[in-house]
Parts: sequence; C-alpha cells; structure tokens
Amino acid sequence: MSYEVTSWFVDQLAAPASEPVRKLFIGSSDYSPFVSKWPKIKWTVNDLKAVNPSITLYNQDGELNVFYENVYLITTSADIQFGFTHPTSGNELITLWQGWLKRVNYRRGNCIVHLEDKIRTLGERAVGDSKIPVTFSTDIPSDIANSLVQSYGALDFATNIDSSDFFVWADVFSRDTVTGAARYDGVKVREAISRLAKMTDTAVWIAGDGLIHFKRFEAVSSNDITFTDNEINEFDINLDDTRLINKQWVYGDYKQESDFYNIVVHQVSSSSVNTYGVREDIMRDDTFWFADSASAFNMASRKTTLFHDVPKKFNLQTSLVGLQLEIGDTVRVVDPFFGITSNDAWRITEYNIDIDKGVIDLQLDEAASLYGFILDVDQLDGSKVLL
Amino acid sequence: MSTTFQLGITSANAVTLIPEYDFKRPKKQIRNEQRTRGGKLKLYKWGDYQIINFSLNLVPSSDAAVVNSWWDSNTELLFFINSGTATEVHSVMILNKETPLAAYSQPYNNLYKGAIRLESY
Repeated sequence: MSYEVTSWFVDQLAAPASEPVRKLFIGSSDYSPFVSKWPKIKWTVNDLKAVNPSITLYNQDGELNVFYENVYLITTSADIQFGFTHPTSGNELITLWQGWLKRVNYRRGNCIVHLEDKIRTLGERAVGDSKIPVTFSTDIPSDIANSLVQSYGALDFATNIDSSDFFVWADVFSRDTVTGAARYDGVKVREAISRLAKMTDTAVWIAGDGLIHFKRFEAVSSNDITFTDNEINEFDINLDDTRLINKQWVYGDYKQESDFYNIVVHQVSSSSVNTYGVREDIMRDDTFWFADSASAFNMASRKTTLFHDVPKKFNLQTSLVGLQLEIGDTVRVVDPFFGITSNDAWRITEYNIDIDKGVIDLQLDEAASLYGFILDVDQLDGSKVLL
Repeated sequence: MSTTFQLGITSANAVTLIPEYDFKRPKKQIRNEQRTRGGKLKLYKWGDYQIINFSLNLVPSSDAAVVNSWWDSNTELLFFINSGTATEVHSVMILNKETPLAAYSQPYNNLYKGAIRLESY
C-alpha cells in the first residue's frame, strides 16, 4: 500500500531539483539538527526481520547528555519522517519508520542512538513451553497468526496490525477453505510467525506506519508507477535457477507424539520437468502444518505455479521518485534492450532507502506477482494425494 | 560610501576589520546529485551554509587579541557588512584550524596579519 500523499508531494518527487526535509523525533523532541549521518533502512518480505536503524548525532556541546542524565528516556518512542516543506501549508511528511529508542552510546563526541521496531518485542516473548504447549487445531492460518501477535506477542490488533491487508489475507484462506494446525512449546513469537508465514507463502513486514502487514501476493494493481530510463539510475537482472521448483512436496497433519506427518502431497509441473529436470522443494514444519490434504495441495500448486520457470528478479536503483512506494506494491518497468514493457508488473520484495543520499534500491520479483491463482480441485482425487 | 566590515558578539563590541582584496563569501550547498540512465538530473539540496574568507594585514594588537580569543573559545559571532544603504548580518564562527592572527606584519611588532575563515552555523 503506497503512502497517501498530495499531488504537490508527488510533483516534488518528480522535480529535477527539490529540497527534502528529514526529521528524527525521539518522543516529541526533534533531534534532526543533531544528525551527522542519516541511516539506510531496508525492508524485506523474504524474512521477518526487525528494522533497527542506528543514527549518529553530534554531541560535542553536550546537549545530548540528556539520555545519560535521565536514563528513563531510553525506551521513548521514536520515528523518522521524510518529506517537503510546502511554501504555504508547511511540512508534508511521511513516516518512514516507527519504533522505540532502545540503546544509546556516547563515543568520540557523538551520541549514537539505536532504534528498534516492534519485531523486537515479538522476539522476546515465547509461545507455550514443553510442559504446557500451546496448540491450535483446524484453524485458518490467519486466526493462528492473530493469536500469536495478540495473545502471545501482547500487541493488540487495532494499533499494531494493518487491518485492511489482514482481512484480505484472511479471506484468501477462507475462500479456499485452507486450514492449519500448530503446536508451540517455547518458540519465540517472531519465529512462530516467521515459520507460519513460510508455510503459507505469506509476506510479513512492519511498514512505516508501524503496523504489521500480512499479505499473500496475488492480483497485481493497475495503478502502478512506471520506471523508464528517466527514473532508473541503475538496473540489473538476476536469473537464478536455484529458485526453480517444479515438484513441490508439502507435509501436513503432524503428530508430535510419533514425529510423523500423516499427509504428504506433491504437485508437479510436467512441462518444467521436461525443460529443466526435476527440481524439488519440501515444505515441512513441526510448529505449523496444514490440517487436510486439500490445504496442503493448495500450497503445493501455488509454489509450482510461481516457480516452474526460472523467476526473474530485478535490482533497480532510483531517486526519491520511489519514495511513496512500499514493499508489497507493484511497479512497471520499461527497458527496450531486454524487451521489458509496461504490460508486466513487478512486485517490490525489498526496499532499501539511503536517507542520507536520497537513493532508493528496489528488488522486484516476478515470482511474487501472481496473475490470479485457481485451485484445480480435479487434481485432488488423483494419485498425487497420499496416505 | 565604501563598505565596512565588523566582527563581534554584538554590534556594540564589534571589531572593525579591513579585508584584503582576496575577500570571498561563497555559499556551500549540502546536496546529492543523481543522473538517471536517460540523463535526467535529480538534485536534492539538504541545506546550505555561508563561508566568508579573507586575509588581514596591519591589525592592531588589541583587535588581534580579541579576535584570537573568540577563535579560542568558539564564540558565536555576528559579521556585519555595511554598504551604506544596507547592512548584511551573518551569524558565524571562526573556523580557522590555527590561531587566525598569529604573525607580525613586517616590520612592525605590534601589528598582526593572518587570514580568517568564517562559517555560518
């Protein structure tokens, strides 16, 4: 979901010369004048990672000794904002990052503040223990994720989860009647969510609004920014056949007492096998698993649909033209040399902004841009469903 | 009427200086420039600051002592450029790496010479 900005803001992004404004707030205090170097911030959908920038502030005059003198200030909220100053209406800023101040170092006349987002909270709390494990049986995966965040991560839904993305994500499982089960005997909440996300091919990240987004990338948006040579600084293409999957195994219905999976399904893309040979992948987890063969087959089919050909991945560097984008958004790219046209959409799976220089690096993944996916129920009655 | 130059904490205690002909006052931008593959420019100006550079000769020892003490204590100063019709005021600090007025103006031992670098803060 792109940031909501005015048309004037968009004009500033497109202008050949502009005067951006950067703000660092710790609590309600503006520490921007003290920043000696603004950080790089990277978001990725490939793994549930905390985004924890560190920023160096000048302290030669001792004005920032306040954290040393008042240690209770170390846990204050913090955010990084970026935007422009309108000549009449003042600052229009977007919040690039939200979290808390967690550590402060004083070194060589500088004050280095280490900020952390709420993923850290999820990494500190555990779900269940070996004597009293937490179990979920036959739930839709989104309900399990919701419980992990709220009940065990102690983060309430309203202020910590992007509701519009969450309900769209939950609807994906409801529509296909995908159910799962889980058992947690002491894993951290962050690891539990990460493994559930991997098993359900879900992207999880914390956006600049400080909300946790859950998303299963499906239909591409029609309202995309197009990158041409006028917007691209650098562009490279990565074709990696290690990502190829044409035979996907999915294990389900795990029995903890016997360490055994009652369900094993697989889906094969025959045309891909004929072209590349067999490339197998296994999805198997003992904390989250699919409760029935249909749900497992749903996932197996999705993976072979996405990865039956060598997926194309772009690394694109641009200017602040890409500022209003976030990971999960789709963009169009035009490159006449490779015959890439604006007919195709590419999903942003990594977003890296160098706030100091105003440079944005995007990773665009063909495999995350699914043009609709339909479960082929005829396959369920065949020999591909075992046990 | 010729232009006068004064440096001080306030206008009341300012020292009158007579810069040599190498007087310069450029502005420096803090910015980032990018060129796209298609040749389009993206220039981001994060800020700017004023620099004022000039040499001095035959400065009385009392004035030299005051200027050197401001440098030594990193005092926040005002630099006045009065052209008769208008006065520019710049908030500056003396950013020389060494004592600005440390050499005698030959053949005198009570008049000093040197160079001053002022930058806005």
